[in-house]
Amino acid sequence: MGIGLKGRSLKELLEESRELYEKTGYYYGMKDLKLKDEDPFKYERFYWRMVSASISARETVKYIAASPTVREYMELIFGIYTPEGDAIALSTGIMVHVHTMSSFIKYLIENDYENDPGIKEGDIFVTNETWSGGVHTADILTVIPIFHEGQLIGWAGGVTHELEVGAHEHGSMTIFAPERFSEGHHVSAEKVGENDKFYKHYMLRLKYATRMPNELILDEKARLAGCILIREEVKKIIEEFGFEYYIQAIREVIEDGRREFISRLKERLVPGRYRGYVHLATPFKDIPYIHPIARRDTFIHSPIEVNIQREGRIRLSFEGASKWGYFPYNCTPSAMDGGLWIATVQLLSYDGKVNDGSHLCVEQELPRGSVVNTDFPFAATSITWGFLIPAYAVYGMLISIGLFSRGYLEEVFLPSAGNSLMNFGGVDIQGEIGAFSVFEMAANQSGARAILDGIDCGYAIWNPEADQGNAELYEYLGPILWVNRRFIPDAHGYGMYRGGNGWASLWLISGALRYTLSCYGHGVKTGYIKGLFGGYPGPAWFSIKISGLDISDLIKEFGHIPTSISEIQRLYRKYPNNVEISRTALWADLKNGDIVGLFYTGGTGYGDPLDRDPQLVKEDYINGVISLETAEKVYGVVIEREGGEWTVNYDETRRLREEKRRERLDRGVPVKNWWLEERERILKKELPEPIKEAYNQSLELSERFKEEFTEFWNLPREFRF
Amino acid sequence: MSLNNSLGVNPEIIAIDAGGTMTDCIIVDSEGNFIDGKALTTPEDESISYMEAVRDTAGLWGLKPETLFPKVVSIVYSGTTALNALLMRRGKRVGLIITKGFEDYPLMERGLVWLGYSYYDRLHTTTHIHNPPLVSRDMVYGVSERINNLGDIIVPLNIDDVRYAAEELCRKKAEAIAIVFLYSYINPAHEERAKEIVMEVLNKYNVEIPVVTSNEVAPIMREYSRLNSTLIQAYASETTRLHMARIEVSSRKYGYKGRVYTMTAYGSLVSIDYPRFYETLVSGPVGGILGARYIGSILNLRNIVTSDMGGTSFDVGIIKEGIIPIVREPDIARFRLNLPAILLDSIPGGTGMVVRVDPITKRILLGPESAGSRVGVSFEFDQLTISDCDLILGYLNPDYFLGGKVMLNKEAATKAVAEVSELLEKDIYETAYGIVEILHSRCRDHIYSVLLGRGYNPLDFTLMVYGGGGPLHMWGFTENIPFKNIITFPFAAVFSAFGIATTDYAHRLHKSILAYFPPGDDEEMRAGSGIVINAAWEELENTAVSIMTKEGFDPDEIRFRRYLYIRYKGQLEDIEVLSPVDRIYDLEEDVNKVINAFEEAYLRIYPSAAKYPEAGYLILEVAVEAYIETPKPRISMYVESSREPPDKAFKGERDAYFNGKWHVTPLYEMGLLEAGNRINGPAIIEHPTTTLVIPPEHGIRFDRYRFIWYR
Repeated sequence: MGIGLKGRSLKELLEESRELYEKTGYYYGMKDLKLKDEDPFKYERFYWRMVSASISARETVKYIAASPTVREYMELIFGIYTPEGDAIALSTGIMVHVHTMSSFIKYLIENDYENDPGIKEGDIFVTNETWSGGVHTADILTVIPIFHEGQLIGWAGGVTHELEVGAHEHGSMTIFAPERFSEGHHVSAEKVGENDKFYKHYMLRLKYATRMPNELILDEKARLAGCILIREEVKKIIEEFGFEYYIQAIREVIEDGRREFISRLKERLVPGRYRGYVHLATPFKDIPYIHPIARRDTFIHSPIEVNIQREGRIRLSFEGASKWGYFPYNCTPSAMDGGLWIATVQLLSYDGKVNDGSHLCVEQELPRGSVVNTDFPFAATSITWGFLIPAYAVYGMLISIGLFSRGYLEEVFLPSAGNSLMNFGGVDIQGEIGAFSVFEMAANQSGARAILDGIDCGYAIWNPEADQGNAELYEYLGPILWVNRRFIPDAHGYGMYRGGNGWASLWLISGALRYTLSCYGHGVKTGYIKGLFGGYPGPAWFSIKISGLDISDLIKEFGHIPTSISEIQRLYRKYPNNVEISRTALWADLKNGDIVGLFYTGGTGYGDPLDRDPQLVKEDYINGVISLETAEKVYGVVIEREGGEWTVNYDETRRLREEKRRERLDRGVPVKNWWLEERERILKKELPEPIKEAYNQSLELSERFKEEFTEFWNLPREFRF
Repeated sequence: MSLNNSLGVNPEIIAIDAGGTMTDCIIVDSEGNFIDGKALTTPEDESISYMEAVRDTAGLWGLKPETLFPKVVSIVYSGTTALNALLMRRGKRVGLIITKGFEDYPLMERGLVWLGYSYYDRLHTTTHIHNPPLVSRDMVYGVSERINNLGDIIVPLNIDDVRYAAEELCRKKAEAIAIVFLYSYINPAHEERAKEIVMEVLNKYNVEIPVVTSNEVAPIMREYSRLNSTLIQAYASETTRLHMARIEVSSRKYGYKGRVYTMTAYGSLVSIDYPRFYETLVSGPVGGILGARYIGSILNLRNIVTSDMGGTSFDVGIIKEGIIPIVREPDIARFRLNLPAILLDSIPGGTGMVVRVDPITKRILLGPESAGSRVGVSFEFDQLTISDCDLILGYLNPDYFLGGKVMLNKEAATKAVAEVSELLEKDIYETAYGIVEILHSRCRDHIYSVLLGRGYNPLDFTLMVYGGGGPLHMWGFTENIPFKNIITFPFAAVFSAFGIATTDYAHRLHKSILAYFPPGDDEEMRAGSGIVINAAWEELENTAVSIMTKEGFDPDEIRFRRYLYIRYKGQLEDIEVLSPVDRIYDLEEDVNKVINAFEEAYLRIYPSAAKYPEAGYLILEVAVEAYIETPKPRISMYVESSREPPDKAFKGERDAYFNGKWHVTPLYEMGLLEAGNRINGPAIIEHPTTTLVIPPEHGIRFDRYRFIWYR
């Protein structure tokens, strides 16, 4: 006797659901949407009750949480699932988890948790493992079953992002983990409580799992409280609509979501193949205190092909991706599903029924053994985002090309937020232990739109509700004081519409006993995504450390703490041994008076910068996001001061732009010549070692990639770098 | 209470709720009788619409301004000048002096580019944009200084930076200057010194402009919200003060001798000299919930849900055990502010909402746009609205909208609904009914989510329905919600103005502190925290007394409510707790009372799985509300007449559509119905400013106050 509907086991129900879909092509065999057809208004009401339950849970329990990621940055999401684990309705939030909680529930079902350890009302299940629905250790998933008259009729689930996970490095996402054993707190698809109460031993485990146990425990309670609120609300919905209606409606809503997605796809995109690539570097060779197995520079390469099929389906292929490695950017299918949904929801299914119906229309080809689907059971995945963000930013750009092709210019959006992360941790002078990631990159920059600039400070690819947070709140976590949060001039991808402009944060270390810092970001050594239709990519990010200089002396010299790029350059010239400019870094010896900083990258541009409205360039100059030099050099716009006001010199601008267009023609070479030159470089193997290694891995792992690569460059079939 | 003309009255209170479209007025006499009237708002000078509304209302009692104003004791005006100035970006040319390194904050806006968006648009990042800034970037100057979270000076204030900024802002003709430094709420020394320097510079050039510091305006943690609050004070609120001054002058011209008061977002009255005028930014909707509390006190109802449906939004508020909850970081006009405000949860949901159909999904989309005063295709708007549906379903009388001042075109409405019904392949009236049902459902869900979000059960609450659209749609948005009672009012359309008239004069002051009650009974820690809390309350009480004494009140009449903001240590958000004690004297008894009050409040919101007493209790803020009771409208009692409505109230019949059927529906005139009357549905009761719809199998009764109870 199973715990599912009509005494069947969950496994049977899951199998039946899959069979019905395969056999009929409709979710759960729902050829007709009976309830929707009979009374569309009642049906819509039902769906919104489910969405409201999820939103209400999220809005309520954010106040219980203790980590700023949850309360301040709203890094949490709740959803309701069918007995088989398919998402019916979700709140807003970290949309990466549209499908991950679904994967977790399916994991529980497929692995027969129904019989061991058993599933009953009041049980609590938690995971953060990428092999059971998780995306990385920092995202912790809780699901609880919902019963009605002894039958399991659904699940409520919630996810929060933690600021500290108890890894060997401080913070939420360990940057230098070579394997999972350095990632900190793992909960491996476990039953951690019953009767709506956590087991005592689980609480004890949480108490010692990380350096910030209060935060972990209160976030855990917030997730559970949210799930309970949803469960109770679902029971009320059943009371109002009736049990039969509920069971039929949850399936119809998913099938409806599938159909809406197909309609939307057919309406918005032109069928065909859209191709791009992801490049990512992990320069770990010069990092101190890193495990020897990981101390090397690696390059990750992956082609991306989006195939929009006529019948309204998306097939996404990563065929040709390079191999997994001893770095934390490895992905698993559930992480890749998460990545897919962040971009899909924002670009295509934002106004549809955001649920697993859409998921049925999308298929991903993830070559086993590659970075997108590691086959090493102990691979580190703590920053899957290292790969996911650029990969699905490229996917978003390809979808945008599809939108453009159909004429939906206003929908074109380049979700090209390269991200950087700063992990801090140590002990302050009061003896308080602190460990946290600065999460302000949750308000980074987007790429441009086809009718507007990208968003300056207000975009996070993984969470549509961007938030930079307050310095005054964050400074309670540890001995860091913000001394700068300002835009960096010229830190965007240039274009007719420019990418969102990057900004910088600089912190003064004040009140620390011993503190360390680690940081990473996209766009190290290589651009992480290109611009569109003549737009430029965003600039690379970097980090700085100023140490061994007396702050009072600096204030005397500059009149303030130096924080702008030009001031740091001046410092660097004067005190080369005290100013370190780096990218991926680990500084283990921060002292009071040191200044560290992150210069975040900007979004990519759209269209030719020479077509940009000169007035917009002038406004950018007034707002400090562009220099006069770049206005002229890149945009061909001459701005002058006239009677105390800045104005555009249109005559000079026209002249300069014409000159630049001529220069371009002079610089250009025929494609054939370019191809010959590049082929020569390939034959001579004149590429950096990590790149050659990545391409060799792609050639080894994929016959299709090998065929296409050797054919395009006219190389022998067995060519290797 | 009387809505009929009566001569020889003694008017005492004038209360005004000036919305973007209409200015509502209530005049209350010394017996508590009141009358209401309206005028079109004149945003360029609200004193014009103010006087127009007063004239319109006073006329019902046969009074003219010159006979009215000398008798009036109190005038309360809740307006929209500041909000409009903010929304239309027609405020002052502001200069900002800010901690160096943070000059781009007005452009960055903490990245909250999705504030005020619907569920769908929050997900649809392509639509996300920043607000046009309140201060131009070239009017922002950074000054070197830095204070940490303990109030220690880490970087001294650079006086030259301040002087330079002030000189430049004078040169650039700033009309107001805002000063915002980090942690000024803990240590205001740098802001205060900077203000002195700025004043010196302004004096040098004989420039008289407002200079506001963030520690004066909003001395609360979170620099982004504090910045927004300070900027709005500088940008918009000073203009409101000007409008208010004009209103005071025009009232005095007719013989009024007192002050004109306005209302804060947290529901207290303040005079036009009140320094933190930005707190009055959104006050009209707040009037409604205060009115509900007042009526609750008459009817002895302590748990109330309020619902206010106008043309654009549907606002829901909660009164629990007679207490109205306050939020401290609300989002207003797409800005997140440090502003204590009565918690009102709003969604787009009014009678003016635009109705569209998505051609792909065939889903009906409502709003958020609204036709406002242009009603719908049946009047002066070019898109179908809920009002058009109400019209063709027979709920609205085309010849009696606003008492017949506006004639509605039923044919145009029918044609517009027909276009939608064709797309949906449904009957035209079924379509209109379905559309109205979606609105009802959305409002119902909203009420549910507000209640359930706090863990409340509707069975414990009475719903009060008001706003022009409230009585019209009450039957739909209350369906299947098991409220204890549902009440509406003949004056539902001007209920917010009525509420404003019921408000006490008060100041609410907050102070950040650091107090901690650890788990167990650590006496030393409890004692230390008790001293801190007592001292903070005392300081706030003294400040309030000093302000109110200067305003001319007798200090002996001032009463206090004390609040604590408590959380489990580690949490980032606290809960407002009305203190059960005036001071913490007894370290066991009083502290336990405070902790119990917190735990009770916590469990009203969250499941018990969320409790965490092992962490101890942290208090980072306390507040004091100092208030003086003011004269209020008195609700008259009537002898209940027969259950049968008088013949004179019966106006005729028309067909109205409910649940797939047309019903012959009797019509009544609201003003002619009497206490004790009962009417069963289907029925429609008309009033110049609203329409009450009663579907079949439901009914209403007028109680002895002429309040309308729906069942």
